[in-house]
Amino acid sequence: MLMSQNVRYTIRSVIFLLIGLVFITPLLWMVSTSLKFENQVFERPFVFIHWGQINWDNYRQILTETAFPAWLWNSVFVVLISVVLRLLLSALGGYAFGFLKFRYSDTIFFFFLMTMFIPYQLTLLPQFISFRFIGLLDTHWALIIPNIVDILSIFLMRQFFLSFPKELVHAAYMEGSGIFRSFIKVALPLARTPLLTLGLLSFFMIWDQYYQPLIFLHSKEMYTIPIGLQSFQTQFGKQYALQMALACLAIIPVLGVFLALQKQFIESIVSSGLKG
Amino acid sequence: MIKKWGLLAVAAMLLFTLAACGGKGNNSVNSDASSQASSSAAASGETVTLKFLNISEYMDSVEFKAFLDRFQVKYPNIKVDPISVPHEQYINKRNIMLASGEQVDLLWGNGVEQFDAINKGFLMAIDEAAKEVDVDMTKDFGDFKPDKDGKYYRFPIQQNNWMLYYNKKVFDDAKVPYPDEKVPMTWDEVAEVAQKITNLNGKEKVYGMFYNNWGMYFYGYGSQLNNGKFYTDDGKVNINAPEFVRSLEWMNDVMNVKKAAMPIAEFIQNNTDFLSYWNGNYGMVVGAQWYAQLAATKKDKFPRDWKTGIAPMPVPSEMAGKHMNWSSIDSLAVPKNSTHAKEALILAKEYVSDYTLSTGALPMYTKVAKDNYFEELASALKDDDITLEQVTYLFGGDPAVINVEEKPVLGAPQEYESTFLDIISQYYTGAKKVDEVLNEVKVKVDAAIEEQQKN
Repeated sequence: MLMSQNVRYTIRSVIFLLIGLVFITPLLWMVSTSLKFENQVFERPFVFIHWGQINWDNYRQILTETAFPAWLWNSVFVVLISVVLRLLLSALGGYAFGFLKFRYSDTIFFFFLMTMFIPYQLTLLPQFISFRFIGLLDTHWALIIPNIVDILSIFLMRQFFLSFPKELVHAAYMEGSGIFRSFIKVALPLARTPLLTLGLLSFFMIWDQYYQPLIFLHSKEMYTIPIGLQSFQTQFGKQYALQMALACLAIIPVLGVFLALQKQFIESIVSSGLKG
Repeated sequence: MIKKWGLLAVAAMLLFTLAACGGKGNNSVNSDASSQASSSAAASGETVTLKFLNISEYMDSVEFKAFLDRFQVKYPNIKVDPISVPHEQYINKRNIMLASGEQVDLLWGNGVEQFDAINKGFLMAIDEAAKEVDVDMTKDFGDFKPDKDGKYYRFPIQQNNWMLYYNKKVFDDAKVPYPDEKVPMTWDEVAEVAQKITNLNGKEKVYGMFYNNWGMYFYGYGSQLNNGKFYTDDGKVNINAPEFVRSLEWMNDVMNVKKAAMPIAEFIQNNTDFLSYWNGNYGMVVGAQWYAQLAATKKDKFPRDWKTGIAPMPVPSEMAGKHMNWSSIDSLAVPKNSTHAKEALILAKEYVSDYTLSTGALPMYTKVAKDNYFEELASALKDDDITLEQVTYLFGGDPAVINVEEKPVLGAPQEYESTFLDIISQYYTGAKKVDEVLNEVKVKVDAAIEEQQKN
């Protein structure tokens, strides 16, 4: 019996180890490539690291010959402002549609939802023309503004507020709070868990955005990390070693955010999953 | 009360942030407005701002910044606003900018991309504007021909110069003599030599021939046979012509019969990059001057313990002894919505006269002194025992070279190339016959051409 438990444990461990390897292999390849010369990237047989010939120059080039610090700052700026404003508007929208309700609120929300079915590519040209008209092209606000209102986020917050206990808010009303104050003082603190989930997911999603900065930004110094990564591409092919060195550096803030909020992130996913 | 203050605070915050960050955008609006001035604005002393769209590799270099500084000193009334785009997404961004009416005054493109822009009606003919900046399009770029309806739309930058690069160590190991410096090998000879120098039994596989998953490596031999006739006389696809069939069959012989080139499935599965040739496990490759500028002369980035050699482009047996080249021209062009065509061409002229050489390419503009280019290149390749005479002959200094089209550029060029590459692997993996895949390409691309003509 004990033996069979050990065997089961070993088999399970091996399976999980293999699954883990599948997930970590791209990261290992990224690190390995960042330390190679370009003609070693796709060599056969594969060598993980050429210990006698490590090419640190890729990192030196990224840090000294590119606008990497500016790209990093731009990404952080765009993501932070976008996420904060998105959370605020999503919470407000979700509260209005899910808790307050008003005449035709479900119909209006249905129209909101329908916009999710429009392919993003179709909206690029009208957005480009609009931003040009109001003078926002080549500014980070051309990236931030479309990110602020996210229908999926409003939908998720609406679902949360649909099952929000009315008694709590009514108690606040009884004590003299208005709609806005009861939202700030009662509803918002209790929505911490879904907001944290939404915040983290939005952070990763906006951090990775590629098309928006590509189309709306013109100046190199305004680029975000994903566009910076692509700038090591020539018309004949990519400079993988340089790209991977930049990717290794760029992943640090994302990893930092994830590690710092890992516990809350997992808790919030579990918690919001249970609620949903 | 709190609600009112809250709303006021939010409104103030939004107003403040929008105003603060709108600065650069507002400038562009002003520059748009200023660009409504007449095309001779610079001549009248008024400052003109040109928006110049180009790919990152040409715009993000130290050399380009230095060029712009020199340009500003020479033309203080013409400001340049560079827009640098990674090549992979260059066309998407270009299309959105031009379709939206955004002002762009000068844009870069290779042959396929510029003809795509011409077909879409994005570009203006530059014959007259060129005259204003003292450029004769009919003479100043060699035998450069008009692009469409007898008019020039492209201001040529450079032309690819193709040759055979070979790995001297692989030849030495196989005890096979090097290719001749002046007399090109025929494709049949290349196939035989590739087979001789292939060694798949060693610690590392050595293939005699390297290729890229680009169209010309499959149909380029055929282009030499029929003088680059990728289209029939009525503008339809000609890829199923016997010359192209022979070309594809040659590659199949090298790859699947003689086993002297990596099988295409392995090539794609390994994500083999065009620069992989420089890891030393291949005997020969056909490549243009970019192989020298990107890898051969840059041993710090592409370290190697073997010497490279260069020889003329292989040719069909019917063309034995002739020096041939696949011609593809990178160029600059002026979009229709530019209101500063003259100033844009001043920038274009300076770009090819002053900057192009520093990118490692030979400008087609005949009024540029080119001796230094050959000397510097020969100096960078002297460790490989490559001489100035060889460099001059192969890198664009042979006036007798016969140019044929490198790839299809006229009708639906993007669709032509991508459809061809999507389908062609089915022939090399044995799934379909050569006639089947070429006919399939023809049907699909003919439909794309017809669609384009309707629009």
